[in-house]
Amino acid sequence: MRLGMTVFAVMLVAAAGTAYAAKGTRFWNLTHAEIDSLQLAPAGSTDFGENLCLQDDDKSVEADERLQVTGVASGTYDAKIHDVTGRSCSAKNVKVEEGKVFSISEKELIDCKQ
Amino acid sequence: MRAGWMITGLVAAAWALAPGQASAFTAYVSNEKGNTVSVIDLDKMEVTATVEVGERPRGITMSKDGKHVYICTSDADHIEVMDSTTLKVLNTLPSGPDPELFVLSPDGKTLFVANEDNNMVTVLDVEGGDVAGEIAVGTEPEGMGVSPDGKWLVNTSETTSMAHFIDTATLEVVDNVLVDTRPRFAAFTPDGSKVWVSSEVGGTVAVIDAASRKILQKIEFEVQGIRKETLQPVGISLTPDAKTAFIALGPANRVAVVDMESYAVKDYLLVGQRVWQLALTPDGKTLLSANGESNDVSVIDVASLKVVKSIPVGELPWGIAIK
Repeated sequence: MRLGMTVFAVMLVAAAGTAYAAKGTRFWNLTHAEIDSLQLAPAGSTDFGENLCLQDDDKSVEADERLQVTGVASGTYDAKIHDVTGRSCSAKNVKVEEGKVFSISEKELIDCKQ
Repeated sequence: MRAGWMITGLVAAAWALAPGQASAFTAYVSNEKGNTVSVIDLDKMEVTATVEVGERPRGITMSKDGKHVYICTSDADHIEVMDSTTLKVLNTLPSGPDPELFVLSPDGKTLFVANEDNNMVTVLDVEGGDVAGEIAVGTEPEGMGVSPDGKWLVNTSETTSMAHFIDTATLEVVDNVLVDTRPRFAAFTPDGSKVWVSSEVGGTVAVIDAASRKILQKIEFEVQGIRKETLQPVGISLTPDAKTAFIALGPANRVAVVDMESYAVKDYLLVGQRVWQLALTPDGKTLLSANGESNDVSVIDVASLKVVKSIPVGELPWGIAIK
């Protein structure tokens, strides 16, 4: 009986984990504006990758929206963003974990230029 | 300026010390990023418990008997049912993917759930825990309002920018009203004659006649020194006497106070950062705002229209339910 319950619990946890991973790695825009460019570089470097917003159907991520992204490995990154108001900003030490949500909020933005 | 702060301080002190002020109300605040619910004793004006719940809790409401708190746990793709006294999560109820916001029918038997990811409203039998139906609506459904007689449901869809009028007897969309961009919230007036719909990106609140489904008024906002695009209406709370509407203005960090007869904006109350949803206590005397960026809840005395307290809660507070 106890073994059965244990197996059932393990199956439940595994199923939940699978469902969660199925949502993939997602960027959550917690700035105040719609972002049309997001590039990540390993923290401390300037080796910025592709514009992740191009993975969206309309090539931008509205405020409070999420974008499922591919090609981003777990790690800590510096970010460059550009929004539709014409503002460009940076953010430091953005932590990404594959299969989970990472976010950049308004108060994390630095070096903003209009 | 100093005199203004002194007056606010005096109002806050008087509000806190007023005899007979004890309300015995409890607020439950969903913390979207913290994956918790903060429990606030509104007599003590402090958080008395923090409860871990499923991923990304957003919509939150009380059962009609006050025994349960229903929580949309968006990333968990279901509704959680929490005992409002023991604070234990008792069970989960099904929804579609990414349930964001819901509304409970006036008889307390049915939850209408907006599922952001599948463009559906789930009709949920609360007692049986069964899905009684699904209603196809516009893209990214969010706002949910139900008429006081329970006959009409209004859902707003963010991307389609529509308010969908749904007959709760047939579960069919019978009318669609185009509103400004990204409608976030819908609320029926206490007499059921009108529906107020906020449009976040459009920066307006539309007042819709519930019978003719014509827009009677569009309310705009203006705050000196704040850019127009920052004035983003989200949460709406209407007083039970149908005199005053409170509108949360998102990153403008203000709650607008609107006269419900003239539609004139009477005041803007400075609250915490990125104010999202609002909730009135059942006696209509106190308004709470969930402030996502400053991680706090502002307490507003409705009679004096003064912010009397800021209460720190969890990470990224989103919604509030009050018992």
